[in-house]
Amino acid sequence: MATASAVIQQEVIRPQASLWSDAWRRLRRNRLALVGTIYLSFLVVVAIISVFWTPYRWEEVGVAVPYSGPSHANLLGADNLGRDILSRLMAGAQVSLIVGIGTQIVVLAVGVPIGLAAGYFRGWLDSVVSLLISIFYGIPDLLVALILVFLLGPSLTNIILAIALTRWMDMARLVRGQTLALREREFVEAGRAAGAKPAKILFGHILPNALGPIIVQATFGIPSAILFEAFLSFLGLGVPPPRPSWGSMAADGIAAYQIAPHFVLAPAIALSLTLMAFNFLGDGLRDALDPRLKR
Amino acid sequence: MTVPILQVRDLRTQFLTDGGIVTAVDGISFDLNPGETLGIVGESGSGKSITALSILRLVPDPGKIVGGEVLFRNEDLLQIADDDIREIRGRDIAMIFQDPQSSLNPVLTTGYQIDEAMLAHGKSKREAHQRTLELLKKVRIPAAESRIKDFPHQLSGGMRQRAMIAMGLSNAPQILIADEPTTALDVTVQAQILELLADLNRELGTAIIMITHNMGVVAGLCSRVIVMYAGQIVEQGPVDQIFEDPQHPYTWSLLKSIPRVDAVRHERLRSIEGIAPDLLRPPTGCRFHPRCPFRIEKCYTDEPTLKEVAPNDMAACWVTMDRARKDMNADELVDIRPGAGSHYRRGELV
Amino acid sequence: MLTRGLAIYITQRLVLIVFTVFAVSSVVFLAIHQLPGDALFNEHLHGNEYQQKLHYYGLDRPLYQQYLSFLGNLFFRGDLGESLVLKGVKIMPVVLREFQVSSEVGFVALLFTVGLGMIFGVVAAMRQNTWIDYVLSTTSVIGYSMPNFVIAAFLILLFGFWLANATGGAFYYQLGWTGRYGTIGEIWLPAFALGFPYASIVARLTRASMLEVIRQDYVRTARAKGLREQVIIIRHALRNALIPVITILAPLVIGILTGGVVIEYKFGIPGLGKEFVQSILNKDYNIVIGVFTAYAALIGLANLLVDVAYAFIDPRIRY
Repeated sequence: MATASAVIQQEVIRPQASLWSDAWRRLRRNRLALVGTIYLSFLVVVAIISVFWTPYRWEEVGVAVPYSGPSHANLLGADNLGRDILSRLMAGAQVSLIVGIGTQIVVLAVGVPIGLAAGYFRGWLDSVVSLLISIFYGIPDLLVALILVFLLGPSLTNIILAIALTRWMDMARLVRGQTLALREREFVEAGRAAGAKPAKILFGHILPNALGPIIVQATFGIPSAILFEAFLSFLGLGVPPPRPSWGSMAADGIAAYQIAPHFVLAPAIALSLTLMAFNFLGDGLRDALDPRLKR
Repeated sequence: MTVPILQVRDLRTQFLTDGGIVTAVDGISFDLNPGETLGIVGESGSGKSITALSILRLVPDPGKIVGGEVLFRNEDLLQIADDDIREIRGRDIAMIFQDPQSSLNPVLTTGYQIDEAMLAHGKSKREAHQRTLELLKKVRIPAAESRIKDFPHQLSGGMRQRAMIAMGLSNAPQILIADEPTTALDVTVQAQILELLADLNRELGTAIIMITHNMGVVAGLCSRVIVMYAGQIVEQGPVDQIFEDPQHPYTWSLLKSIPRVDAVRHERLRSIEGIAPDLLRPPTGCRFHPRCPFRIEKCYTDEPTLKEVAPNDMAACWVTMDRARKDMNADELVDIRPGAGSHYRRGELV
Repeated sequence: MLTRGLAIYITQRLVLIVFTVFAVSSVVFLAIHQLPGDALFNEHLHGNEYQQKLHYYGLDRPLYQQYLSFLGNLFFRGDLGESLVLKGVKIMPVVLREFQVSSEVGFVALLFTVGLGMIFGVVAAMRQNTWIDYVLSTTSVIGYSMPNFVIAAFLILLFGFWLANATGGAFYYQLGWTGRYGTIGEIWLPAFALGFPYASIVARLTRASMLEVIRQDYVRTARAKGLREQVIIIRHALRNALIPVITILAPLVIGILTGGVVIEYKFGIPGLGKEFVQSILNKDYNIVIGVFTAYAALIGLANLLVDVAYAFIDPRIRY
């Protein structure tokens, strides 16, 4: 029955959140990533819509005076053949997104299994894979892609394959590194001791734990691929005309920069914004999934 | 009466954190006499390291020294110009740190880093090279000539710390501040380093401020000790006396928690219950009261100030061990939990 | 610090480079030579003329023979063959001349990248959370998110168009390349466009790295010794902060090399990149193979140089 005022320190007990909900919380708080996601959602919507509808048909020549500037009829003006730039810009989003996401799907399908196998089984398999990776890193990616596309013909699939062929090593190397580190952890030992088959360990234990960096890498890989495709198109070896790609639009635009600056600005800005958005998102994901940052 | 070479008066250092203001050092005052070895002892978070850093104005962001004076050679180190404090660092007052692995730059040779300490204060390259060699020999690093060209990662932990000591003493400072120099080393090396410091103190007359959480280190090296808790000094005085007869319950608990060779066999190892206080919202009254076995009512409400409670022994406590032994049977208590010795008269905590 | 380990490492890498170049150019060679004969020539040739041309270039021989003589010429005589389109023009001298042009632009771009990038990164780190930091950080994110030709397009619009109009022709950017070495006026814009995205990456990395290094204990030790802030930043902090930057230097140099392809082509710079694209479009496959081989060799060497530089900067690295 002391009259003293007892100071009671109570530790607030927070519920143990999982890595994912914690990461999601942190991601939501990252404003740049949020802005990026909003923009990208908008872009996806535009791309989907453009499959069914655009203000004008993007392949229709002569809907306006060639090189004419932005006006009521053509919000972004017209290109060298009198086609509506806005419509072509919308359709161009399709190409960028398909290539960007498509390449990453291939890279994931190829790089992840190779990385897992090399990191887990080690031995001669790892040596071969590492050698392959070293060799591929010595290849000038743009040049190979150019040759490939030229030889095989410029189609969306070929472009995706060409880009994936020169960039799979990033994912494979990452996954290999993660696997090498994770295989030493106790839960893998436990799994092995319990007699689990390698496939189960790889896909049930190792892969889920490596998922974070993999997702980040894939997210950064998308703008990289979009950039690559833009390069190809810019050089005239991308998606064949008349299908619009932001890269080829930029190429046509630069040629006429003196008379129609809006022509190059439209795709240039679209490209830049899209790449920026993906980069912001990638940054946000990376920070959110980084186990080192305190809650 | 010797004139102290360093006088710290009411030093106050705060950190601006997301949660609020943390006062890591809350009104510390002490003197350092020439050639003296002073120990500052306390748990982590007690403010001992920050005190040392504050003396040389090395407090990292988001910390700020917000009050007090540090008088050295008639100047207040907290007020002098940036250029002037830079002159003093490394030349008149030197500081060495806890982890020699991370405290030495990995891309520069050891020799260069020691040279640098002297080059920064006006010595020529030749003088610096020569002195570095002498210093390395003095701190008992074998094969000094080849060690000069080695990088820190090529030296063992003990050698790295010796190199740091050499760096600290290179300009023959009047004061050497050592922030837990032995904590990162293993026990046998610890003893060697402490012996080295003791010898250097005797030989060169450099005053040493030794910061540590280890009472044994203090006993081995220091002549005077300051005990810190939650940013304040709770007791200070000569080492022999304080160790023999500590007056503050915290000091007493600390000493009780050291396993002793001559302890009675079935005596349980005691530790101080509770955790270090949250400096964002420190306890009211005496900061140690939530963990103190001998608290009385006054401890909850009034903050005690440092007073001479025994000859040469200053402590900040309303009770003191003298009374705890008389009224609360402190020495016979088996169970040392907070309030274990406190007793009540007519329902009131006295 | 040239140790035996380092020498062995360099030798191993050189072997790998030779092997890679060999492997890669072989693949390209074989791939291209799978094309049907008449696809090899731009013009439509018939009968005798066609056979003559085929024979002149040795294209009527069996594939393996062609392959072996290609390799033999390359490794023993440094001969990359002859242009298919421009008869009699040896490829190697062309490659060498254009390499010099590309490397000029590439070198300036690299200077921009490393120089500007480092400076921006250090400034942003030392003025963390001030407006300077925000401006620089935002600029760098925008920088590496923009394709180099977009940057170039903006710059051309700015310098070749708007400024020229605004100042009545005082500022005018000329596309192209004069003389053997070009002029500064012609080099700086493509070099800047090439380098700016990478400069942004370097700036970001340098900033992050500096921020970490500044908090390190050894910086605190340096301060406690009484060193001046400037000295601490340059001698202690920067050297350590640059170590992570060196690790990305290799992909960066490669990026500049390949990015140059696009820039050169559209800006009329007679370098290796332009040659490559033009040759593909002209179907001058001998040149394509030749330039490709040169690039593969360059990339290998660039990688090696960077790794060796790394060993010299960080004494903890032992090969």
